[in-house]
Amino acid sequence: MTTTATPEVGRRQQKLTDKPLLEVKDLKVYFPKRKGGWLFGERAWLRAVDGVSFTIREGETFGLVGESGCGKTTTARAVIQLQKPTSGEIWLGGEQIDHLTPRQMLPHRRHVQMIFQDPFASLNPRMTVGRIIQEPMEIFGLYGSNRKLEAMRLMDLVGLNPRFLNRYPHEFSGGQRQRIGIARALAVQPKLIVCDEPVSALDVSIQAQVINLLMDLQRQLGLAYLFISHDLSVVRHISHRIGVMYLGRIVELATADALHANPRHPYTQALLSAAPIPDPVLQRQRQRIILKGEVPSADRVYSGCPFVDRCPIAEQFCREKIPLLEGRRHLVACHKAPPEVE
Amino acid sequence: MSKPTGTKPLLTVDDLHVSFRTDDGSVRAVNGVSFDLYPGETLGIVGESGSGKSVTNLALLGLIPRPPGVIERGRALFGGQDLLKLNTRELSAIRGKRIAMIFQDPMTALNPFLSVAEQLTEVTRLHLKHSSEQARKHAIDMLERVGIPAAAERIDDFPHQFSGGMRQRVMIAMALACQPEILIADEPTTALDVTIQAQMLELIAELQKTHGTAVILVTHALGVIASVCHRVLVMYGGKIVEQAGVFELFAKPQHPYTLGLLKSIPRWDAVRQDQLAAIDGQPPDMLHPPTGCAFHPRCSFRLERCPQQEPPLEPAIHGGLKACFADLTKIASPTEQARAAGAHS
Repeated sequence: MTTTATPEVGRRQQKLTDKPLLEVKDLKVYFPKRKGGWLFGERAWLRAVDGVSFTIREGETFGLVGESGCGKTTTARAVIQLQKPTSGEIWLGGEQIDHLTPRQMLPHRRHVQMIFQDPFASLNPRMTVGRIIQEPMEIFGLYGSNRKLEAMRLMDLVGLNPRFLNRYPHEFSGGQRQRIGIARALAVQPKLIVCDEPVSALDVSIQAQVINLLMDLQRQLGLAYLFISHDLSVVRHISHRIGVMYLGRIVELATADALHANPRHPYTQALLSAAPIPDPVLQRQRQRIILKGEVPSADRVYSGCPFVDRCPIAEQFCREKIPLLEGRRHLVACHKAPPEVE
Repeated sequence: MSKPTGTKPLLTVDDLHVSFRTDDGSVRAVNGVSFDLYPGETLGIVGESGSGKSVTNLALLGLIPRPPGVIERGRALFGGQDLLKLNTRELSAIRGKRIAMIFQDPMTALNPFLSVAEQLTEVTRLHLKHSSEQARKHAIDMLERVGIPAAAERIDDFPHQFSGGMRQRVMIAMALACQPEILIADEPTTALDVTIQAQMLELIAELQKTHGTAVILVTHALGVIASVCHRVLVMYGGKIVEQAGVFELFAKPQHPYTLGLLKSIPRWDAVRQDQLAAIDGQPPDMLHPPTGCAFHPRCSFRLERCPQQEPPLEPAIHGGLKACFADLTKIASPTEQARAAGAHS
C-alpha cells in the first residue's frame, strides 16, 4: 500500500487482516402479520430483513445506515442471536451460529457483545458499576479473583474514574453511562461489538467523545464493530466500509471513501442531500433531492425495485425486475446506477 | 441579517429565571435569559439537554408545572401583556391562537382517543368561533396545505393510523390553524428520519413565508439551525452564552462552547478528520452548577478569573452578543476552514 499523507486515507492504513470474522449470508427476518383484520384478514409477512449479505473482517468497522424501519436494528439483533432468522446463514469465526441452541451459543456469545442506544435503559439501576462490569466475567468464568481489579482497569480504559466502582448508574451523566456500557461489553474480551445507535441519544458535545473512545479502543484492542446509525456523517467517520439499507435490503455497499466520493444509488444520494450540513452558506446553496412520500410498509411484495415509487430516476423497466446488489468493490442494487469507477 | 431594523419586537423576554424545587435542592434551570423575537423571523435556540432551552419556551406558554417549577423573576412582553403574569383563562386565549407550539414527539402530543378531525376542529371552534361545518372545512384545508394526501378522507382517522411524518404534519396543521403570530417548535424534527425532516423544515419555512409567522426553533442539531434560522441563541447552563445572526455565528463563533460544538461534529461533506475534536468533560450538574462561568471546567480558553467571575453578555465582533472573557476574535471558524478545505454543497 502506498503511503499518502492526507487524513482521509491515514486511518485506513491500519492493518486489516483478510480473515472474515463475521459473515452474514442472505439473511431474512420476517415477522407474521395479518392484513385487514385479525380473523378474516389474509396472512402476510413483514419483511424486516430481506436478503442481506455482508462480511466484517477482524479489526474492521462496518457501518449500516438507513432510516427507521429499514431493518438495520433487526439485522443487528439477528447477528447477536436476539432474533431468530427466518432464513440465511450467520458465520462467526468460521463457525455457523444461526441454528445453535442457547446453550450451544454461549461460548460464541463471548466473542460478540453489544452496546445499546439508550444509556439510561440498558444498565440495571440497582447494580453498582463494578457489579455491572463484573457480571459478564462471572458468566464466562473469567479473571477469577481478579475481577474487581479488571473492572477497575476497564473503567480506566474507557475514561471513567475507577474510584467510582461502587456508584450506581443514576449518578452518572448520559455520556458516562455509555462508557459504562462499553466497559461492560469489553469485559469478556469480544472480537466484535455490535453498536446500535450508540451516540444518537447523547448530547452533541458528548457524541464526539464516545466516537473517539470507540476508535481508540479499536486501535488498541483490534476490535471489529458493526456500527448502526441513521447519521451518515457519523457512520462515514467511524466506518471502513458502509452498507446503505432500504426496506430490508442493502442497496449500496462500498468503502466509506468510495461511498463519500461517489454515491451510486439514488436513495443514498437522496439521503445525503436531505441531511442538513452545519454551514448556512453551503446549506442554502444546495440542490436538494426531496423524495416523494414516505418509506412504504415492509409487508408489500415487490416484483421490481422496492424504491421505485420514490425514486427520482425510475423508469418503467425498474418495476419489472428486482435489482441485485452487484459490482466488484462498490456494490449497488439499481438498474440505472452509473458504471463503477475504478 | 443580524437584527431586523425598524421593526418592533413581537416578543420581548427580559431576565427570565426559572427554577425547580427538588428534594436535593433548587435547580436553576433558566438563569437570566433575555431576548427579542421579531415578526417573520426564525430564531434558533441551540444547546444541550439541561441547557434551559425547552424550559424557557414552556415558561412563555405557562406550561411549567408549578410546583415544582417556580418562575423566580422576569417578564415576557407580548402585545402589551406580560405572559408570565397571566392567569390560565387569559393564557388560554393566547395559546393555540396567537402563540402555538409543536413538540418533539407527535405521538404523545396528540390525543390517541380522538380522531384528527376532532382535535383539529377543536382549536378553530374555540378560538375562531367556527361552526362545526366551518371548522371541518378549515381543518381539511389545513391538512391539504401541510401535504396530507386525500385529506378529506383521512381527517376522520386516528393518530395511530398516521405515520410519524404524517403525524408531525397533523401537529403543524393544528399549530397553524389559527394563523398564530408566534410558532414555537421544540425539536420538531428530531424524532423524524432525515428525508422527512427535510420535508418538514421546508414546510415550516413555506408556511412562515405565507403567514408571516415568527418561529422559535429549539434544536440541538446545528445542521437544522444552518438550514432555516435567521438568528441564533446558544444556551449553556441556563444562560444565553452567545447570540448572533446565523451567518455570523458560523463564520465567527465568539464563545468557546459554540466553537467547540462546530469543531466536534463529523461532517459528511467535508474532509474527514482523523480524530474528532471533542469538548472534554460533562454537561454541568444544575443542582451544583460550577462557580463563575458554567462552561469553565470544560473550556480550553479558560482564564484565571473564569472560575470566580461570571462573564456578562456583551456586544461581540460579529454584531451579536457573547458571554466570555476570552478573546476569540482571531480564532479561525471551523465552518470556514472546512469550506476552504473543499467542503461543498
